[in-house]
Amino acid sequence: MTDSTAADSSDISALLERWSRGEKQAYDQLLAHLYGDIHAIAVRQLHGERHLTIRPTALVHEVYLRLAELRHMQWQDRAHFLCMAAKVTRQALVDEARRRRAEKRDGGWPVTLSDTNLGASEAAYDALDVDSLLGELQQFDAVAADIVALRVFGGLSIEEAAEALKLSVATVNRRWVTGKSWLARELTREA
Amino acid sequence: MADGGARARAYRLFAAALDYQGEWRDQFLTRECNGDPAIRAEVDALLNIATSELAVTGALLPAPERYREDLTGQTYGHFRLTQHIGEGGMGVVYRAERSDGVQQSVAIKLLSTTVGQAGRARFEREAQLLAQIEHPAVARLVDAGVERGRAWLAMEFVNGLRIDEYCRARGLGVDGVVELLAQLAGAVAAAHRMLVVHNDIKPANVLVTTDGDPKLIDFGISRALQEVGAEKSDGPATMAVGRLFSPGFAAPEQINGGPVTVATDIFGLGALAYRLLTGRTTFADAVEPLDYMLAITQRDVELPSAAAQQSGLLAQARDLRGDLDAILCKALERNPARRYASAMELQADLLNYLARRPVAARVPTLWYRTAKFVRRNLPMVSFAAILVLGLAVGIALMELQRSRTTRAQDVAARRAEFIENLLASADPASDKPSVTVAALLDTAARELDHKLGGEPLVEASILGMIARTNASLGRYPEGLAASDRELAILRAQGGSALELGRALTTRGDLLREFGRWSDAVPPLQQAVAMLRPLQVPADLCNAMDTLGLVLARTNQEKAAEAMYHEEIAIETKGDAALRAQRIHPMFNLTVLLGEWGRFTEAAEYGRDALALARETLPADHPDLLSIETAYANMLGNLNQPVTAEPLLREVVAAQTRVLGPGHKATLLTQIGLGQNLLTQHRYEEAAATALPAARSLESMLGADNAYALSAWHTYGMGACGSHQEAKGIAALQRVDEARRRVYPAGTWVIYNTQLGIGQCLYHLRRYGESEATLLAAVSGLETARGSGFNRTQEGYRALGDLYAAMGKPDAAAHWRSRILP
Repeated sequence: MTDSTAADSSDISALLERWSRGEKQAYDQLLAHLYGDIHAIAVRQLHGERHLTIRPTALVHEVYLRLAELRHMQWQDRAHFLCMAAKVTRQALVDEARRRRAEKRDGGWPVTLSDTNLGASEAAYDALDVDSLLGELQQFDAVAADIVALRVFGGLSIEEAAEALKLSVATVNRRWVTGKSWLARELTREA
Repeated sequence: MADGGARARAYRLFAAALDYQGEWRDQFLTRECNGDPAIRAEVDALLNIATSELAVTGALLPAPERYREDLTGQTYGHFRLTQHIGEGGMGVVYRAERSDGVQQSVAIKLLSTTVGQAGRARFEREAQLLAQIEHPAVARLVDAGVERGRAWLAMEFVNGLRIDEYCRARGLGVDGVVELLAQLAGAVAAAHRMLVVHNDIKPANVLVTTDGDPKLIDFGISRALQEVGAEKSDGPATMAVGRLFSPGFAAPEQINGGPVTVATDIFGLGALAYRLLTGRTTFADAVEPLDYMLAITQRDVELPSAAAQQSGLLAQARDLRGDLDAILCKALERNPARRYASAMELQADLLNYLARRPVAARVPTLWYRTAKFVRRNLPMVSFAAILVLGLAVGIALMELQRSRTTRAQDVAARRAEFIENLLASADPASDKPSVTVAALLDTAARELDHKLGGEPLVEASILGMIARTNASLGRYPEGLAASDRELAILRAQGGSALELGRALTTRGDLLREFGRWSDAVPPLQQAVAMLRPLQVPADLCNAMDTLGLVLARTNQEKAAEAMYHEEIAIETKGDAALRAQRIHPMFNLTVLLGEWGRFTEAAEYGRDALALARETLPADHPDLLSIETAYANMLGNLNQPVTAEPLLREVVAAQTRVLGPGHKATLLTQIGLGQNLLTQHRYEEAAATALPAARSLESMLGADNAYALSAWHTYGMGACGSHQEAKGIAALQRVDEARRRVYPAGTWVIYNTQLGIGQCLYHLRRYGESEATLLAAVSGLETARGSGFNRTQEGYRALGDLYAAMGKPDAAAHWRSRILP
């Protein structure tokens, strides 16, 4: 995948316009474009690194900054954008981690995540582990899993997550504590 | 606990248990787990995570009160935790006392990071470095270590308030706040010398003791943290983009992943200053971290004074305007390279502000320094001098920008520097209470040799500037002395043709101002010859213009006219700036042709020059005013004195305001007004207008000065017409005597004085003497300028009146027949 961000700028701009006018179709196309964008940034940063820690939040913020610049306006609906970006980021990082794992004979170098809001600010977790654990959490507390995914991959604040998921701040706060604690516990569980 | 069902059950129990506190929770779990120790252990582990400091709720949210664990009583190193103080994104802070009996209070920061072996080594290395920062305004690092997998730092316990609370509580004014900031900048500089960057300067990290001493806390902690975290990845490949940051205080490079350097702390100090002085953080409208990220990377901060205004701090806003605006904006530059190069420089500028010295942040430095100098010396510096100094400085700056070759650039830069130092040295705080521009120039001239003895070309260049500035101040002898030195240096050092050409022009112009027109011709002719082959039209035209002026005064009007026309042709082909310079030759042609009696042509050039001047020069510009004078004088000569009079009065008023009442240009317009009144036969007013001008010009320029003589002439004529004939004749005779010495024989001005004397004698009814004088004057004027010249015509009229009074109507008719309609 080459860095397609520059070429796609005008497309994305147009899609954002259409999406903000409420066109459902634009949303899917936008997702595809964003995927390309975020994946390109991730790949660029991962390039040449045997093992690199990604801050997904920063990744999303970079895209956000870029798009906001592109549009020369403030996001009307930042929470929804971040929600979308979190989804895309998760997908892009997981895909990349899988690709690496498949490519390298020795199992490849993992993609790890830091600045995940999960507690110890400098701790880094394997992207694939986080993804599969969130999948498991989805089974018994889907709301908490969504919240954690938004916070970890999109850097959403509690308030933004509440807005994006149409939940009260108190609920989000509470489910975040439980979901995050569980994830942290599973991630640091001694093998 | 591999079983998915059991994990789900443990999760649900854990979530439910959070609703219970203390023993209720215990009871709830005992009941629910129902003797299943594996489930109970799992729930306890989850609860532990949720309530421990290891899981701070979100980096930007404080941990909810109820999840906090009380660590009082635990010991770290020699210290026992005694009291919870606070917490932040990085960890929790306790007050602690030494447990080995020594009296020492410290603040212990427990980092919310688990640390392994490698991280521990790095952390301890980092802590050692931090412990070496010794500065009264830095909270000292007492000890550090890793215990129970947790890194801790013991810092000097500071009993004080957060700086923003302190400033508010004490009602500190701008100067008080700036003093604190200067101390902090010094502390940051000390840390930078130890190669430690704070990286997170904000109000929460600055305490002020009860004695009023500021203390920076958490120095280098974020860096130490990074070292701890680095063990997790394989190398230094931590992704650059994005980190935890404090909105309102984080620098752009902390957001967009640029390298964090000392410049980051400069920004932090700037942001802290901004918060304390304006009452709001930078980009106060950007509440959300993301908004701040956008704002800080894309916009410049709002001017501090404007921010204070919006906060309703009107007095602060006034104090911030200017220097502090500049200082803060320089510290808060988005591009790190454009901020202060060091915390020392920032501190120096804050101290400059406090001492009311010029601050380095203000650009362009030279202009600003001039303004500062002038403001401090206001009573001593006349407005005229300000203007002149401003012009000199402006020219210096302009030349600095324009000079193309390296050498010229060097010379210009060194000169600007010299002037700057000169102005800086005239500090009122030092014991020199009254420094005038004139004194400044003399100091410069004196000090040049030992300051710039080794740099003759720079010295020459400054001498040239001193010469020109003195000329504008009407200090011609001083100007000439400087000009002499300049030329001597340039000749001895093999100055370039351009440098010599310019110096010769200055010299010629000074001699011209002095009224030494014949002396002025050779240097100016030399200058024109030297500059003509070079591609320097502006310099060439300047020399030609000046040469034209002296040719016009030395009976070479035709050559002068040709010179002006050639100059106009060159300027017309040039760029906009050069085309605007046409004002000068056009103006000079107006005067020349007017004196020549070619009024119609003169009026054309006058109108053009005036239109061009009004278009290109700001209202009240001295050149514009001079041109208006010339135009009005010409209208007077065109027999429209009544139209011209109000214009002249306006110009006198404007020049008095802009240049001062004693300025040469003002006085020259007064002469014009006097002459205008003469043609309206309002002799008494004419004498009253001309007399003070004559006295001022004489004391300024000397008794033989052409302008002074012209003023005395006007006064003499006015006096004669208003029954003060004796005084009038005495004045005119002095003028006559001087003009015969100063002007080359045969110059029309000499006959003009004679004409005036003849008219006076006529008023005194000394007809015989009057007849002889008038006949000689008219004959001279006819030879010099022809019969159409307005002075010649005036002579015909005077002879007509005289012969009529003498009862000789034929003779009267003879002369009157020569008067043109």
